[in-house]
Amino acid sequence: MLELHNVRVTYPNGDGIKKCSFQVAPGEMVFLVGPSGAGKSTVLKSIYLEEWPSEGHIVVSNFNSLFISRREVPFLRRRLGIVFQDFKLLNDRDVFSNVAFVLEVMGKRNKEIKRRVLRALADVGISHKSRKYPQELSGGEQQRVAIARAIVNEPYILLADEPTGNLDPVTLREIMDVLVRINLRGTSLLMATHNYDMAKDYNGRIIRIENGQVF
Amino acid sequence: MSIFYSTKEAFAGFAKARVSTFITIFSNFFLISILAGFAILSSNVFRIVDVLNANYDMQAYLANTLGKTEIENLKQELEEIADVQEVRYISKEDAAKEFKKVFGDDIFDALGDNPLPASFVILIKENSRTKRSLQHFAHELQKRAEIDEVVLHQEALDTLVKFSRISRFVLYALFVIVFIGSLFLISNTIRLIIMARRPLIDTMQLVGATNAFIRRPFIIAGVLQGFLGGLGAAFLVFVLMKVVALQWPGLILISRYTYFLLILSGIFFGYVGSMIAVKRFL
Repeated sequence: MLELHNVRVTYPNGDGIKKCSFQVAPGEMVFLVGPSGAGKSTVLKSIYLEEWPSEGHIVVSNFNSLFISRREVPFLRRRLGIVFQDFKLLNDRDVFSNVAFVLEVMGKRNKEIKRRVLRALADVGISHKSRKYPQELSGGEQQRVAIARAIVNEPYILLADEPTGNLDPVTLREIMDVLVRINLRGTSLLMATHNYDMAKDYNGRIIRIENGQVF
Repeated sequence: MSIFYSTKEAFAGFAKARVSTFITIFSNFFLISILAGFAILSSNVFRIVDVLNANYDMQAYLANTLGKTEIENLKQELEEIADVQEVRYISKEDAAKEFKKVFGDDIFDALGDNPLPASFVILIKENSRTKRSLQHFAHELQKRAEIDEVVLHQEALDTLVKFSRISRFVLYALFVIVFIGSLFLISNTIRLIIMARRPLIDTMQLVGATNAFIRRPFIIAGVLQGFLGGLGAAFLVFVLMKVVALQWPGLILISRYTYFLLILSGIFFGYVGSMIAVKRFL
């Protein structure tokens, strides 16, 4: 279960989110929909504690933002899979290494890394390009790699920040199909998007956000 | 596994800042070599001072007219003085041999005669070996008719002791300068590597890498730079010592631990330098 209780995050310029409360149940698909600048990314950042709430609290599995120390943040993030609009892939290593990297960070053994990376690449349909470098891939393919990296550690919840924002309509559908498939296997999905029309096409709950407040 | 990964990333970091890494390794090598050279020089000055202190306080040259019995009696008389630890007799023949050893020529061949006087090398007990008491003792000896001249080695020793004190001070100062210089160079290179690897670091943080894990490759990179600098300096000292030993055997002696110390100081500089960088920039 992911829970936000009256969360407030304020930036120095006064922007941010306020009194933000909602929950995401295990296996649930939730769209956080709102225009640019509404606070969608801030909500996601507060969940993986890149931004710390100044008020309220957030619960992810057995982590609570009120009690977690900075040293424990990496362990919280290992329970999350995060996908960004700009992919955030490492251009100096190939697809396999980009995904394997998450497990290397956690000190997993080579044999296990290989098995899990190949599984994740197969899940997003990009196994055949595992030795390509990010700059050799299309936008849709890069996003598939980013999703593989996010799910390789079998996260508790997948956070996706405008994952289809840079993609054409056909590729958008392909990426959404991948995300839906992952969700159907039991991984919760919280996806921030400005595209209300796209969100309502899927069988997920929609939470609206405007001016830093959720409705 | 994790150390293997960190080491691999450390080498990848070198590749991102090649020029800076090379300059740092070379500068460390240069700085540690200077430090090593001065340390070896200083430790050898201490050694010479120690040797002179232990064996050579003053030399009393005897009148040429003294017979064997008179010399024996005088030696015995000197040995009975409370402050004297040892009296060593150097005959005219011994002096001629020493002359040949130092100058390479036989004094008989040069002059047809041996004008070198016999002498006593007098070693004073350690407790009485102060400048004042040595001067007083030499003055008293000088008054005796059997003795032509007393040469006190204290002045030469004083100069050496003074030099050894200064060199010790310079050595400490040099160590501090080299340490700070080395830290600056290494931490600056690590900073450049960190900047070049910022996307990697950001992604590592997002996927749950601990701070220790993120820092490790940079620490390893710093230690490697220091190690290579120290290793280069140890190799240079090794080669120079071989050359010096061939030309002037026994002139400079160093402990075999010196090489390990040089490498260890490189590693130490690298570790501290990289720690400073990661604490500041990560």
